[in-house]
Amino acid sequence: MHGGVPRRAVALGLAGWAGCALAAHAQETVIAQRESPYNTIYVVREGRYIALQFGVNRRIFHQSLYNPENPRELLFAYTRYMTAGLAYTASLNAICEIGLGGGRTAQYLHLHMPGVPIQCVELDPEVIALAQQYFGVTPERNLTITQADGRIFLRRARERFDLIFIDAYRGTFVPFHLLTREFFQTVKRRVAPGGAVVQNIEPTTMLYDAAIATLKAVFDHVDIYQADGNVVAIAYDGPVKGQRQLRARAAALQSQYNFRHPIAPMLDARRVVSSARGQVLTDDFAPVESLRAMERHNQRQ
Amino acid sequence: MTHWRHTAILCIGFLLGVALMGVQMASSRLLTPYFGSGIEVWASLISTVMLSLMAGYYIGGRVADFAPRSQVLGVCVVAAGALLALTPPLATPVLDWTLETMGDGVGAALFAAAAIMFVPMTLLSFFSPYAVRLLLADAQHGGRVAGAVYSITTIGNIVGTLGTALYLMTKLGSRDIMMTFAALIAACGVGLIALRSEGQTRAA
Repeated sequence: MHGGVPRRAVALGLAGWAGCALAAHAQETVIAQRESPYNTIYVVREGRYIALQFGVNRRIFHQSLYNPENPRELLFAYTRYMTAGLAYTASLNAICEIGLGGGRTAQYLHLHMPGVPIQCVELDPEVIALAQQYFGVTPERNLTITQADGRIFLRRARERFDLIFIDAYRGTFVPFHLLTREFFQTVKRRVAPGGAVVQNIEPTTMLYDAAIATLKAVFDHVDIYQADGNVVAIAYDGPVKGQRQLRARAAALQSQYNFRHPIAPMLDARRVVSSARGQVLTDDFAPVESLRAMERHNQRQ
Repeated sequence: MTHWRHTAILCIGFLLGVALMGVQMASSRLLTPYFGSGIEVWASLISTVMLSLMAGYYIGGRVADFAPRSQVLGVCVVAAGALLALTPPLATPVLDWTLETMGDGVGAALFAAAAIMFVPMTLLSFFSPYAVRLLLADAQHGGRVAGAVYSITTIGNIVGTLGTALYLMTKLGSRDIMMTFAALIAACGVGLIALRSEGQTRAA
């Protein structure tokens, strides 16, 4: 479950799957179907791509899209924008990803930066098994996959990470305990000095405002990047990182690692959150279900 | 046994049924940040509630035969409410301690759920067998009396589950929800104690 695109659902008729935007034209074949304690998971071949999908109420949610011919290709815009977080780091000694899904971001980073240890945390054992079997995500040196609840993992962790990616979706939603102020405080304690937190957020409901407000309540700075249907939020502490500084870091990383999707152009989409008006969520009070039921009317933050 | 008294006991049964499930839903929110939202946490919670019901039905039934007075039941129910009122201030230290010493496995989740709920929920579930004993006029009607008690408390359970999940949790924090139900339970207990004096005056 952890890991994924809260990409708007695609209706699933009894006759079969309607295509999603990226694959409407492609022939779709289900090549694996698993029931885990948390999800019904489908691995679907869509033309030359392989998709990881979660089924909820006869609707299908894309979690990951993978091109086996080119594992360095990130097909969802939000997964590309997640990597913009690299420009926010002062150093790169360790990376953590909460929510593996099809392991796209982790594998992309690992292929480009094999010397940087990446720790993935995924709750659903079936998701881990399928990621290994169909998405080429095999544990090896500097790519560790741990089956655990992301919050519990971070609370028990002793090391610090320069970058923590949070992309933990259970089918259509993020469990409430991964959205609260106390959770982000736990995350903050595991961020190395000069590091950052990158989170994928579904922007169409009131829960988005609450998520941004909660991030902003815990971290000094929050930047957002619109990425097709999703928003990538990047939070960090300390002095403001100026555009020039980010660009310089992105350029340095590009020459060192030669990313297939260069980071520098993504930085143009950066928007700094100056004030957040959503409700700060706490462990005690996090009405995530009702916030998610309310559409946001004030789009385009 | 007046008709009025009969109705009052069933109404209290409904309210306690609401509170029982409300407390369980609120407890799930208390536990999740510590033990995750995995299927094991729900299993631990449900098992703990079932364990409480088991103990409460058994002990409550025996106490009812020994002292078939609504006042005794009322005192037990007030005690359940008072213990639940301790949960909001004590939950954080108890859960922190559990995590430190026992880890975050299923055993720890079970222990934490039991620490929060077992004693008050056990006292609360004295109600059903006790109410059967109080309402039973003669063995001829034992079946329908027991049926009425179990169905009214179960309707309360349904209202408590849905009402807490769909309404209270959107308005109140889990500690406030716990306090609300603790107050409701204590009020029901006071009602049961008052009922007894009412019955006595009439009998006298």
